[in-house]
Amino acid sequence: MTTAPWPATVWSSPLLRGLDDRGRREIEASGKLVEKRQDESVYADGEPADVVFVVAKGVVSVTTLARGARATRVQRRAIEGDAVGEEALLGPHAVRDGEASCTEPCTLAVVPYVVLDRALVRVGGTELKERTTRVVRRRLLEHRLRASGLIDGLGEAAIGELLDVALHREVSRGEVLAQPSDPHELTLFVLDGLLGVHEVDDGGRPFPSGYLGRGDLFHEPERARVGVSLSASGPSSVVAFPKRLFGTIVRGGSGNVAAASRGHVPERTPFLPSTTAHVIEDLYRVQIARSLLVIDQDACVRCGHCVWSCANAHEDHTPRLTRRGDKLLLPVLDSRAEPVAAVPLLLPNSCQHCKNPACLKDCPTGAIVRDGRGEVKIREELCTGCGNCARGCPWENIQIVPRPVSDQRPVFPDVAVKCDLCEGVSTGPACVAACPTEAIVRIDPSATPLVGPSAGAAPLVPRGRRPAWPWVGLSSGLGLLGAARLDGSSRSSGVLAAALTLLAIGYVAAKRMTPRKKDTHGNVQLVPANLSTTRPHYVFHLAVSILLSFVVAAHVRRGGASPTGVAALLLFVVVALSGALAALAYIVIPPRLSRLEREGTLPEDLPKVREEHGRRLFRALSGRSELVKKVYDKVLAPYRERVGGTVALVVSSRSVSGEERQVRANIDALLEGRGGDKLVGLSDLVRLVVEERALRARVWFSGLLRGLPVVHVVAIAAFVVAMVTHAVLAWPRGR
Amino acid sequence: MSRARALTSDSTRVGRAAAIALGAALGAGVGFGVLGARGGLESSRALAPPHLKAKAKCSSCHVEEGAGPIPASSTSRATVTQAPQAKLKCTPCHLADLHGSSRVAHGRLASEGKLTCATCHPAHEGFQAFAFAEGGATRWGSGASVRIPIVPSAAVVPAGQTVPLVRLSSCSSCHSLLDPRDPAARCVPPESARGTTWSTTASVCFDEHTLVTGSARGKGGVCGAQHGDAHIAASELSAELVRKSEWQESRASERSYLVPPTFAFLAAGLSALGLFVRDRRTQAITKKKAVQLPVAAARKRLPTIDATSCLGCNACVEACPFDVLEVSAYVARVARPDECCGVVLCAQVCPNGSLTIQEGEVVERRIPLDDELESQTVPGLFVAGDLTGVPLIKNAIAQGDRAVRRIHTTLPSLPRLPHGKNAAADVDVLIVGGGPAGLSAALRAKALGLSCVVLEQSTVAASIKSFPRGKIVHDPPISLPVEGDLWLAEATKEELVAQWERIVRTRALSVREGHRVVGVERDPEADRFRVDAEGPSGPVSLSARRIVLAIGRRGTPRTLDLALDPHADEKVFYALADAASFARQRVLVVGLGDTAMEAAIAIAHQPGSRVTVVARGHEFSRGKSKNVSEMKRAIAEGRIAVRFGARLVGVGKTSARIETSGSPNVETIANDAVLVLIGGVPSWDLLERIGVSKRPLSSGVP
Repeated sequence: MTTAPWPATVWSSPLLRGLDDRGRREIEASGKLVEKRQDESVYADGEPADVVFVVAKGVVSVTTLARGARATRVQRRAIEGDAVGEEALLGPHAVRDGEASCTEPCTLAVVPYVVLDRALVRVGGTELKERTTRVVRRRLLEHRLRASGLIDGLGEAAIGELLDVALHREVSRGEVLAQPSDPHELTLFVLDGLLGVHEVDDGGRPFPSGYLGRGDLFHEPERARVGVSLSASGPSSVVAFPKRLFGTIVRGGSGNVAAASRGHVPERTPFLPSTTAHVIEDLYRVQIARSLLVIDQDACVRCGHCVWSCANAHEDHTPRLTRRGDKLLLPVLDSRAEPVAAVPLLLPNSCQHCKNPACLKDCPTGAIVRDGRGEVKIREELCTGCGNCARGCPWENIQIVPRPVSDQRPVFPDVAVKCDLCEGVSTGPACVAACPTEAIVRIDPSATPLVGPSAGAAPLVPRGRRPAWPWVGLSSGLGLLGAARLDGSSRSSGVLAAALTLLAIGYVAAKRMTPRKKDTHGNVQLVPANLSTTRPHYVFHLAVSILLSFVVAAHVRRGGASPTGVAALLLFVVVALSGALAALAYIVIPPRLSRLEREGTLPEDLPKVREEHGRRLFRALSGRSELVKKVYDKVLAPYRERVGGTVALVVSSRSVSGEERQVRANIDALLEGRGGDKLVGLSDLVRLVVEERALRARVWFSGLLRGLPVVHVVAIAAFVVAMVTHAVLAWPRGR
Repeated sequence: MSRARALTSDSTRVGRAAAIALGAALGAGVGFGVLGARGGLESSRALAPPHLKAKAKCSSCHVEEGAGPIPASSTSRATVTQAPQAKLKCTPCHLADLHGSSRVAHGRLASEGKLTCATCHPAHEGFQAFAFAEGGATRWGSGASVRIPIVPSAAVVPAGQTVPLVRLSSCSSCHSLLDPRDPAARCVPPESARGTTWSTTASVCFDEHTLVTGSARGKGGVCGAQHGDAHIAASELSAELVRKSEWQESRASERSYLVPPTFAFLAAGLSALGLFVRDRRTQAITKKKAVQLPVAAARKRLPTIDATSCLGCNACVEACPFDVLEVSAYVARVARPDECCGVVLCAQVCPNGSLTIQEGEVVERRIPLDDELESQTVPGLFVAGDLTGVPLIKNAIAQGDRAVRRIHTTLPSLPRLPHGKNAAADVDVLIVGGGPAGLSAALRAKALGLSCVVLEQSTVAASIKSFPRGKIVHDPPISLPVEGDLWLAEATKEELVAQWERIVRTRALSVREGHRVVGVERDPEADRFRVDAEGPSGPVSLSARRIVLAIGRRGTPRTLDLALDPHADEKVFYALADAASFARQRVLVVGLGDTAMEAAIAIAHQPGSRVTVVARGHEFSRGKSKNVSEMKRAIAEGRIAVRFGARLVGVGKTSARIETSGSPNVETIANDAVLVLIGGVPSWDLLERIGVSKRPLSSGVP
């Protein structure tokens, strides 16, 4: 901080022009004057934005990545007296949009927006505040329009006209912005926040069809959809333009309306290396998330260890994550940026530390805060357990639970809990550390390149998953070579087998001993290590178990044994078989299972899903045309009842959508183009029967994934007893 | 938002697997224990009972010279000769000099080492013997035994004696057993006592060790117990018994090693079963705990909010199912006191106690009921559903169930009514009203074996059917367990009605539709009710022991006193079934209650429709805030026109006539359909006639 008064160029900036001496002093006291070198960053994308910078000397350039563009570009240059970082206007939770850096050595005045706001009101009343806000808002809108690429190639006059007709509107959660019956006269541009788009299906039921976020347009193509309505999912700032005027002006330039327009989004989106936000379509969740938990369903073995370890990492033993949630497909692209495969990602219910957290805004006591790194926390001592945050969270990531007994605040029996990123634990989030297959990771979707350039590369873990096969191969080799040299039925081979057994079982203890020690230095990594500590244990277990199998084979080679020995051997065979089958299932089943799922479900949900299917089928059939009912009778009902259909589906290795297309194609071939609008509702029926078929496979797959490890564990328990008995009895007679 | 701990299988399965594994470990332990008790821990062969009794182990007799066990399969002779690794150590229990054969030839062979104890007594395979105890003998083999009672009690049973048997295959290699010239032929039992081969046939000669018997006299311990007169007696008895009993097939313990694994997996299965049962029980307990019917309050209860401490957190607003509360200026306030039903959910969720429930004025017009829903003025008559003053479909279902359960427990067990001609006319329970409460009552009555009839004035669930098409019947926030199948969470109206109709059909409930009850009379003498109803085919009279009144508050839809032009009645509707059918029509909605507003909004959403609402009042006086705000929006956007202070006076084929207060003219507007939604005429006079209600209830317009 500098003690010298701020230069006059700062005060003559349009932003600060109306202030009196006291206001200037206040701002000088709370803000600061900073010197920056050439190319030094002023702010980075996604940082919290609570201050405005006024350039005192030098030039600051603001760089953004426009929608649909492949490279960033310098969007504006701020010279002396200009302000940058107008996002602060949007409120204390705003984040930076784009990057700013000094193109030459510069001096910047850092103005806290809250202080400025207060000073303006004191000096000139709301009138002055309004005037300044108008100026800032106009600049912000221009900035965002430019960043969206909408007004590329437009002349200053045209842009000015557009800014003149803009109508700013602040909306709060739940407020409706557009309804099907509305006259189509306005084009909406989202300055900030989150808006939900709903459409109605065949049966007139509304369903969420997407979200609009910063820089998105609600324009012709969106309006054209069936029964579309738009409402605010959280506090948002929206700008309305007269539709016709907007269209005319924008068409005059070379702006990419399609890129900002959700209705135009093509099925296959262009590959952009810098961000996933463009890859994963229409999920505002991904745009707003700062630390998003994703599970690669092709690798996830559904063991639930993440949830279990989350529960154990917290005092109240309540898991902060549930393995239910939306699933999205992340394309894997080849070198020519063509999608060649897709990675199914589950977004489980777990706090994603939004850039614009609805929970924070809804908290009446200010118990939810965001720290300097953008991490959203609940201060339990301030929480009243009222549940506003839980209702505010669009993804149900906050739970209200009874306060732990140790917490001596009986006034408020409940407390809100959510993912705290296992703060203070040096190994990072327990869920990530606990995953045996490294399927679960926390990512910042706006920073992590999710897609690798080559097909088949594990897209989530930067270095790729640590493979098990070298160790498995090594131990198999070692076993083959070494076991032949072992003396059968001897004490030595028995002792070796017992020792290896202990090592293999020790995996259970070792993987659960994730450090719970608080970091004494208080250093929490910004993005915690996405590293599984369990993976090495798991691989070790596999390798040791293979070695153990060879040693056991050598130990019993000479044949015959006392009943205890044979019993132990039998149990070991069960252990080894169930273990091998489980390992095989872990490799084979997840990719097949994920093809049959549309969302993340837990095994206990499946019976309910089945129950629900019957009802939905009834609902989907009632009130449909005779033709649809006939098609159901002739094609879908036999399809539903066909014996072995599930097996056929699994063998065909089609996904549910693929199977749906197949069935639909069969029906279309049968109808030879007849039907037309009499086929309304048929797609629902096709979807239901296919899902029903897939459901049976899901039940089996889930059962295998869940059941085999249990058989393994049970056999191990019995085997250990048998092994100890055998050792005690055989020891005196052994050699 | 969920207040419950999110216990999923993900977080519980580790504990469960551990419990099951513990069970398996215990099972394995028990398995080994059982094996140990049978002496089988070291050998796969069972030990003979005398050996077990003497606490002998395999190693007491066998000294292993090499690794590996005693070969399993061999004949008795081979056992000895072909087992070089194991050296039999039968001494000192079986003294070679004392237990020698009395036959010279045998003695010679023995001295040459060609005949051992095991030659005749195959130690591990099919070792046969008699063990005598009080009242009988046990013939045992290797792991198998049979008890033979000794019937002539005159014979003294030589208890405690063991007599080993010899299988004839031990002899057959030297002797021709069927040749009468061979001395061994006399040892062959009669055909009936022979096995299929010599190796499963026991010798009947017991004179081999007679010499020994004498010389062992005077010895104590095991030997002393075995040798003596008793042994001679036992041998004689054995010679007899061996003819009467069968060879004890060795079936036992060859697979004894299977015991611990089997036990382990059985125990694991049992543990899993135990966990499952515990889960079910916990569920049942939580269900049971939650059964507490909300009771209609005696006084009006209203929330009061302390504005100084209210956080404005919205918890109460969210909790209220009837939109009574709202937050304005960061403080909750009671916006619509008339809608409050006295269910105190708001006070329960208030985080800091700034919302309290205060008892207000006494609710005057209500039906006096006891806790079990029985009328206090007419004994034997129960009331369920909306009529009790407790709203919500779920409550109605629970109340119907409760009333019939009560009837079932209190109904005197009279002799069953004869299944004659009149059986149908005289029932245990007569239910008036086929709505949620009535159907729930009927289902329970059926389940409890009570005869029952439902009288319904129109059709099943008519009140629900009058909901707009596709209306989501929300799961109310009161956690009431609902018995039976009547409830579907988050169902649409159509699903609910379809489900109920299915139930009526499949359970064969006796529901008489189109029967309007006009009178109920109680005969205290016979403890019976006489119910008069008007059916489609004339008046009906029924006799019932108990009545469940579940007629709700809807009554009969109120109609308009209108001048209907000819053919105009086809376009007047009293319920909105399907808003889509009013597309491109000019619709007049009469009424401004919630139902009317919802209908108007739904129709206004249809393409090309034009909606005019005719309301007697001059403003929005009641209704849910959501409906009012949406109406206002629609009015502002010109999608709905509202005529306040107006009255519909006539309906023509393509027009309607409206009279506005303060204006002398009757206005005629073009119109395609008229929807009259002004509530119903409650059946108060019936209630008064029955005697359950002394004064008319407050008019309950849905």
